[in-house]
Amino acid sequence: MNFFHIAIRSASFFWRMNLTIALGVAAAVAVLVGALLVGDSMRGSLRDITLDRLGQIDDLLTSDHFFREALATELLSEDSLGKEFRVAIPAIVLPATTVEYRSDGQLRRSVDVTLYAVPDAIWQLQSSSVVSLQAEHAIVNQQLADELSLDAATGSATARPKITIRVTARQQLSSDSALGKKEGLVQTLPEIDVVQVIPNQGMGRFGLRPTQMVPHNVFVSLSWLQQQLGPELFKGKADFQQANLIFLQRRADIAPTTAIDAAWPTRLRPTLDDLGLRLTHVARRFQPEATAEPQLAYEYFSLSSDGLVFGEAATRCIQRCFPDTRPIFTYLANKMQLVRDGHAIGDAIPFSMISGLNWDEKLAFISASSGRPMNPLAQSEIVLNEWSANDLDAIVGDSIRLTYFEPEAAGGEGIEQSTDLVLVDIAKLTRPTGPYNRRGGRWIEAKFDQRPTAANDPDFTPLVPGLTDAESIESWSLPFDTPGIRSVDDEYWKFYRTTPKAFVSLPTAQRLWNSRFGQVTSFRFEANAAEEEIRRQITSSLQPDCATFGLNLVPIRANGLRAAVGATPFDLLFLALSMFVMVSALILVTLLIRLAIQQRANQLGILTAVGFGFPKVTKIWLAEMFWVCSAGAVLGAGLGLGYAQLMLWGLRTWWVGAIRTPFIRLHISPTSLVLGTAIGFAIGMLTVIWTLWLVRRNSAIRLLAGHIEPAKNLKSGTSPWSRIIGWVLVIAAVASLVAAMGQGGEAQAGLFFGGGFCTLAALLVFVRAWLRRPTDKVTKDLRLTSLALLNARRNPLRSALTIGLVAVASFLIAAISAFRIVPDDSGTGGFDFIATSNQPLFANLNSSEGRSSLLLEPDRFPVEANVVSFRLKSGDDASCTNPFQAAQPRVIGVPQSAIALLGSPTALPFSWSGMLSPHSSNPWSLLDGSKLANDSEPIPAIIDKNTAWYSLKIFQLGTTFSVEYDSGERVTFRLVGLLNNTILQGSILVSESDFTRAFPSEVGYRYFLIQAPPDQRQAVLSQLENDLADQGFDGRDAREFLAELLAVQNTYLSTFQALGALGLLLGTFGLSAVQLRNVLERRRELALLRAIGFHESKLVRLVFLESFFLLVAGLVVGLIAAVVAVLPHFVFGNATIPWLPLAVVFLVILAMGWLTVRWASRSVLRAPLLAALREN
Amino acid sequence: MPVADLVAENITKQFESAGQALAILQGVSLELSAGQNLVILGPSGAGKSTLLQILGGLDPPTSGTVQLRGVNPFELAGRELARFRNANIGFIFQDHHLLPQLSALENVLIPVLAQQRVQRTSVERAEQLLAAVGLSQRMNHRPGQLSGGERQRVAVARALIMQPVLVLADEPTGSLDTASAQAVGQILCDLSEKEPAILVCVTHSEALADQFHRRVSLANGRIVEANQSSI
Repeated sequence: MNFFHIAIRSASFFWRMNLTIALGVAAAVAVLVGALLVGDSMRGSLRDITLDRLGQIDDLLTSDHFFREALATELLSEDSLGKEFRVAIPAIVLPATTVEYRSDGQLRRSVDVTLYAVPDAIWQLQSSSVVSLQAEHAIVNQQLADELSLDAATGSATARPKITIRVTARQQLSSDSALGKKEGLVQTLPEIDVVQVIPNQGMGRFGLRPTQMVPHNVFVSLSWLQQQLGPELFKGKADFQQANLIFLQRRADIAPTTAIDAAWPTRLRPTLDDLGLRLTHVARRFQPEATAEPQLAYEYFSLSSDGLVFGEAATRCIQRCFPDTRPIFTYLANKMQLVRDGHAIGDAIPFSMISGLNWDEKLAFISASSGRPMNPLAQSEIVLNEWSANDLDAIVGDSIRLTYFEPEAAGGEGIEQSTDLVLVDIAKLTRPTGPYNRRGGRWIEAKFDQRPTAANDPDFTPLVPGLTDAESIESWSLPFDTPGIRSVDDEYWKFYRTTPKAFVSLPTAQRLWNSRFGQVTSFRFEANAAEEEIRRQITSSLQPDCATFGLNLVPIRANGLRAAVGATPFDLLFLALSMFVMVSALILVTLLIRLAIQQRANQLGILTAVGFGFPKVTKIWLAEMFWVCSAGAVLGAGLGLGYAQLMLWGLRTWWVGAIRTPFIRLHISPTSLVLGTAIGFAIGMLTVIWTLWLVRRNSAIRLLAGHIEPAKNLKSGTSPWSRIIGWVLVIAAVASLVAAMGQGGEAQAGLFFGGGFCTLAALLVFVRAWLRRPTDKVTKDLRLTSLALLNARRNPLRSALTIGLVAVASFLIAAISAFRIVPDDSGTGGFDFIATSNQPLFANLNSSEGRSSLLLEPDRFPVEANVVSFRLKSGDDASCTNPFQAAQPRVIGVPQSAIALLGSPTALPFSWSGMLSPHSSNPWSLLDGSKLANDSEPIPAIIDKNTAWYSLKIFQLGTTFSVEYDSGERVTFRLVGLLNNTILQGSILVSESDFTRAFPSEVGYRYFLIQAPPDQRQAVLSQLENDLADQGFDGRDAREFLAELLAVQNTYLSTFQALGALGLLLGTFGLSAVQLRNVLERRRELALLRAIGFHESKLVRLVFLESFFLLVAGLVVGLIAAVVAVLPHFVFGNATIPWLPLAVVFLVILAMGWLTVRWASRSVLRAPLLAALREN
Repeated sequence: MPVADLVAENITKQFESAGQALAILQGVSLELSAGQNLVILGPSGAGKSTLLQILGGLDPPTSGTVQLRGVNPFELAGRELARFRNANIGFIFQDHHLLPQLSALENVLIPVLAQQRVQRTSVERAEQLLAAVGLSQRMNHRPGQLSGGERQRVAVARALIMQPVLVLADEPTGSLDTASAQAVGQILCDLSEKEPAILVCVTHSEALADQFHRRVSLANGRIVEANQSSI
């Protein structure tokens, strides 16, 4: 015989009691396992979505410009990246596309569609079969078809649905620049046949961003789109065989999470063209005599960018690789005019190229007067060429006024600036013998019979399609009018074209025309080698930095899988939400184990009496409970699967608001099963140890007499400490409530909740004290109810635990309502609508000019309507509605005017949770923090608290964090303010100046907050949506949007309440089980009462009253505390308490309690009288 | 004069009830040697069971000392006290307090398990004891399958399994019929003499008391009558 033997025998002998304990443990394990499985399921489902979204695509080669389609083929060669990738498919991806479909006279429109122009080879990356894409054919995914109500039954060619696709052509010249095109950016592809609707799987679900929402995708033929949009998209490119994305599939032996060799850019070997660069060999010659060989005047290589201006990073990179290269910055001046005595004199020269450069003996302009090379220029000095000086009649020493547009257009409007510079010399200019001629679509250079000077160089100006290749100045394609063009200007254009009319030093040019786009338009390289060699040198030097030039390898599968870990740890969340069910189960286990110990107290007593020390007694019990808890844990693991299924079903139905779409499916990981079971088992065993620990000091004598409470515990009812603690808790409750009056939002809710919780604790302390109070007062009026109350007080700890269980559950269920949030003006900032546009808007919709340029009927638009425009960097939705981990959150740029408006005393303020300078009169001005700082300073950012805490995991104001975007930007932010439950959730808000600095390629305004007169709200939105349909303007009700965001939190509260109710129900069943055992213990006593004349029904009532008292006491205590927590909140009007559902929950619980307690009472008293009397 | 194996000197025990001190024992002294037995008689509330619990090291006296073979059990702490009780004292209660899940033989062996592994020799001794109390045919029966008298005989065997110096019996026949009570009393006295051990028994039963060599009566916490001058 040994402990093991005794344990097995005891476990089987007391199987009924042990079964109830095992069931309690099973409930706790089920909750744990279930919660962990919910976490697994969320991660697994997100992973499924990711894998489904990506099909067999592992990586993407992305670019912010177009590159040669052939790069995809070259990439697969053995000496390139062929060892890593087995499939490389070029494509053109155009996000922010609008698709329209007209059916039955009704136009349906879907904005935010992504257009993929793909070769047929793309379909090999997915399993389902797809038809070959021909010209003017399109395939749409089911999501888009549903949105457009497009019938997938595409029978005959004539019956095919036809859609119109509107895409935005990315401009070489940023639309935000003064010279950039702002209108006519949308290209329309009309009457496209939809030949197939593919399911929302594989490419049908493909998207660049991790989200559970199915994207809207449309696919067209790559070659067809290249031909259709080529003339617009590929200006300056050698051909139309261009792409901006390559889909990559890795070889089977390269895991998706393995980092690709960091030297991939060198191995990829992109050409300068692929990097968006252009190398031009400039060799200017002259022919003094018609019969002689042309002579070389000067020769060099010019490196320019497709984007006209080199960005800062690219400039640094080139200068690092080629320190001797000469940067040149050419800008267009609107006017050049002679200034004397502060007054402009004579005609102005319109629209002149001005080049900024530093010259030396290698590149020196020849002074027209001295015939010698000029000295380098200082700041505020200018050199005119001979033609300009003559035209202006200017002499050295005069002031020349340059008038020009600021490089960055504000709100779509070019702002003119002017500066006066001192004319220090006049550059000699050689007149060509004839004008430039166009032949075969190309410009043939003008001929010189005399040596052209260094100033005779139109290649100071980089190629600007629509401008530098124009026939005349009047035919320039510019976003502004070109008034004042004279015949002499046209003549200059014919003979000199883009030859600068003036020169300044490079620092002067960069001071005047610096912008976020850059400050160098070309780099000049010495012609000290053959063109191929120079090209090779430059290419090989720049290739390693190809990311700087916009070419990036994005490990989209690895990123997606990382994001699929999820923003919210759902296992912990559901563990927390299910905590009460688990606590109920554990309290039940405690009660049941105490009951078991009590039932077998004499065994403990005899063991103690015969010399078993407490550790040995514990060992015997633990050995027994090991088997009991093991059985419970195994059962619980099985139940946990059911519990997880129930939770997932809830998330797909009742609580779908928390995850927006019912995508979640059960995923079972053995780790969670084992971990949940093991932890649940351990908790069960710890509960046993704790319960045994409580009886450790009891004497063998009391144990032999069947008592497990030490005598001293029963000696007197209340210690002074319990009274003191009770009153301290009351004071704390009052203090919390008083403090709450001065607070708002969640702080107030938290304090009310705290006050309620203190009330609950105080009430429980008083109830426990009452239960323990000596019952030496003789009751003169002994009635059944008083007898029932006396009986309920027989075991104070058990009764207190029971009341506490019910009370805490009731309190939590009711009081948690205080945290429900209703959408209000503090969340919308008083705005009626929130809107985005696919295409950027450049005009200000709050100005009459802006409205006139953008709206078809500007007069119909209410003057009082307020449309606040923001810049938008697309990125991951970091709001709590996106369960994926947001790695590249979207960013909103807040213009200065919006900062002033949002913080003005007359505006309805957004609700704030915290800010770095709490006393600031305008908290939005915190965004201006980096104004005086240098570029390396982190950008001040305001974020909604939910986004900061739950998605970005940033908890403290002042925290700095960095985000690296696929588009190449690495931005460091500093959290300066936290908004509180606003429509601005999901984004990082920064000032417009910081935005444009961080994201120079993002142009225009694409995010809008709209206020409209109350009676014209819908009309305003409709007008904006209709008139800006081409731009994909899409608005929605701000309150509805906020409600959708808040639904996540409110749904979790509902989940908590539902699970709390489940816990309470479990507690009620437990209460019945405990009372059942309680009554079983007293069968002899009850039998005696029957023997002396109590009718059975009376005894049932007696037992029922005892149990029901505990249930009602728990409910009442919990509800009183809940009322303390909720009522002030309700009175202040900022809580929505679902009174009716709560009342129903409590009535159901009361009814269930009533039924189970009644059943328990009846079943016990069915025992035969004599048997009960005889029973030991 | 030889030193007695059990010496209790001037034992007092007080409880507090309703704010008042209640004296249960007031200066009780006893001396007993191995092989001797003693029955304690007295009305309910006289302090008989309390005295037994104090002698058994289960309940400390308010004042006075108890020494069993020179050891004061109340000077021992937790584990040592448990070991001391296990090795030196056997208990028999009115309620047999057998573990219902174990057989008669296993119940007898329980004290062995308290301090060591159950060896074959212990099992043989338990079988001998059960045979001695007339239960050789019922060794593998559970308490629920035994009569009241049989259960109490198992309890007697359990009390003697460790060959204790002192056997304490608290109303061992209180819930038995006359015949069973007679039989259990006889077995108790015979075995304690044979082992040999000091046997101290508390009872209301004169019939049982008559089987003991010596008797004392307790009233109001004091010994008011003894049939031997040595006590």
